[in-house]
Amino acid sequence: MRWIVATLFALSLGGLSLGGLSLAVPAVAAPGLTGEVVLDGRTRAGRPVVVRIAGAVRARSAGTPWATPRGVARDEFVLFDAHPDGQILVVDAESAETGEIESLRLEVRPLPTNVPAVALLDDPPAQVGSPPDPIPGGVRVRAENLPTVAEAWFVFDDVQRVPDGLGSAEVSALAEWRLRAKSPLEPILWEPSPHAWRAMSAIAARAPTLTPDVSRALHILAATLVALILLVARSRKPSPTVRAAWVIVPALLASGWLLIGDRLPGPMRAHSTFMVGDGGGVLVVRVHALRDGAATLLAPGAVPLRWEAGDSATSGLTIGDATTVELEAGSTRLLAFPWSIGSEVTTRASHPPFPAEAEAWTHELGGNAGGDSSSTLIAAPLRARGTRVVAVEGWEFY
Amino acid sequence: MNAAAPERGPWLAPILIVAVGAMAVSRLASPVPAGAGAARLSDPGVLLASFDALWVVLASLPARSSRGALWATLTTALVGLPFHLAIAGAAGAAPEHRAALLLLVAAFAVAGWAGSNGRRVLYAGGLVLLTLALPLAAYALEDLLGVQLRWGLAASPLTGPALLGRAATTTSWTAAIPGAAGALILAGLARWPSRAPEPAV
Repeated sequence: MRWIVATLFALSLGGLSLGGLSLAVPAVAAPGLTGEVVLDGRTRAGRPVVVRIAGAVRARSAGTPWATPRGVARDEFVLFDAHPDGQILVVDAESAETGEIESLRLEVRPLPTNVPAVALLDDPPAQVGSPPDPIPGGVRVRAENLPTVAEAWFVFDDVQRVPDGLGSAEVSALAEWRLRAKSPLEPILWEPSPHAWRAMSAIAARAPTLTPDVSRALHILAATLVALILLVARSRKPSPTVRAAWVIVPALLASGWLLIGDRLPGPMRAHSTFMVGDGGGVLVVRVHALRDGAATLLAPGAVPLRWEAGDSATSGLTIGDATTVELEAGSTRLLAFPWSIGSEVTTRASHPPFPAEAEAWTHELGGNAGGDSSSTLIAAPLRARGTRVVAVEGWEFY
Repeated sequence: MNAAAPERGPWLAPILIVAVGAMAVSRLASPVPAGAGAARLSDPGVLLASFDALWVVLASLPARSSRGALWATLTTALVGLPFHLAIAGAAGAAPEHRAALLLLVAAFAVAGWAGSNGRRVLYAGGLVLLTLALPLAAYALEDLLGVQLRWGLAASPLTGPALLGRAATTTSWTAAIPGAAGALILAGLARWPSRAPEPAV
């Protein structure tokens, strides 16, 4: 009996000590996400912040929409309206491996907004704390790990001393930025304003709700059905079943065609219009939720437009190579897509009147918009999932 | 005329549905006119309510004869489907609205088929009452006496789809229950057994 009691005592002691040990040993931490703000952490108020986080599927900072990976290595995230707290930007990123949201504290070096900032790409890299460059507004930036998305360069007004031997993706991002930064139609450079919202609301109010292809298909169906109905109504030969089948089958096929392939607006009503100028253009999409739902616009580089600074006009957005809009009934979002002149544009006759609200908007952008009185510019419609974007006429900006 | 020859197919009701549907789609695919009244007539909700009301009423009409009545009713009911889908899509109608409207069309088409095969006069009288008299009475009672008879409007094949169309983004399929019940009563009227003649003593 004593032996049994002693053994039990010893086992319980051992168990307790082992338990204590196991509690005392810290769990091995999973390798967490790490990140950095590109261009040596340079940020500027009102311009997007591009962060590089390997292994993340989405990222955001307080008040910004979610961003999905972009760039050649799929590790660059464009954060719109991010506000660093002093020298630190807190970014929440979702790990692709664990699915957990991790909070990263990234060091930033804000640039002043009242003087032009010129990036001086150094090769070899400059040491932090080296004497300032004699070029006014010159900011040394290491020519390593340069961003491959054009949005990153908008923190600067100019870039000089571009070394040879940069990768093609870096060079192409820089070239795209150079083109876009000069255009008054570059949405990243726009201040928050109600004019764009009023203009797009007026444009959407008078715009069609169904696309021309759906209308054409249903008119062909209507003509076919009327012909078939008259034909079988006069005929006595086939049985009623066969006669009905002649009419019913095309109607059912057309119904299937409408339901498959996002040909109808769905819960969101989306309208797009555009302006083209000498240096480029912009395509603006207004998405209005008739009921709760989500839709995805299949075009990269969306820039969310705000009514005023700090409003909630970017909530429900996930921006990356495609833009997902998740909205409650009655909500509206405005997205602008930088649009190259080479994009497909057709003309058609009968120019509609230019809305007064759009005039106020274009005046704010520093120009006028209008069109040839005999023709209207129509852009190729933006592709989407979960809704159908109705392309409205566009204008020339001068 | 050969009495054994099959009945000709229906033509007026299907053509009417197709023509109105095509006009509505054409309106929705064009820019909205400047005038307030014309703009209202281009509103997807208004077009949906009007088209659906016409569709359900025509689906509830009995065929000219009992021969081939099932196929005639099916033709009338199904030619409107693609146009309804397009107009409802433009109005942002919820899937539940689609379910409610299809339930309504199916119920009144069954009633129309029953009316073709049963007591046509009784059915026609019931249809007139349900389509016109009931909503008028419901409206008058609400307007004059303040008595809410919402189901009276919802049960009619004329005003029921219009009510559904007005709330297309938020409606539930249960909103079609009064209409389906009305259609069931109509079908019951059509199939009401006539009094058999008493045997001669």
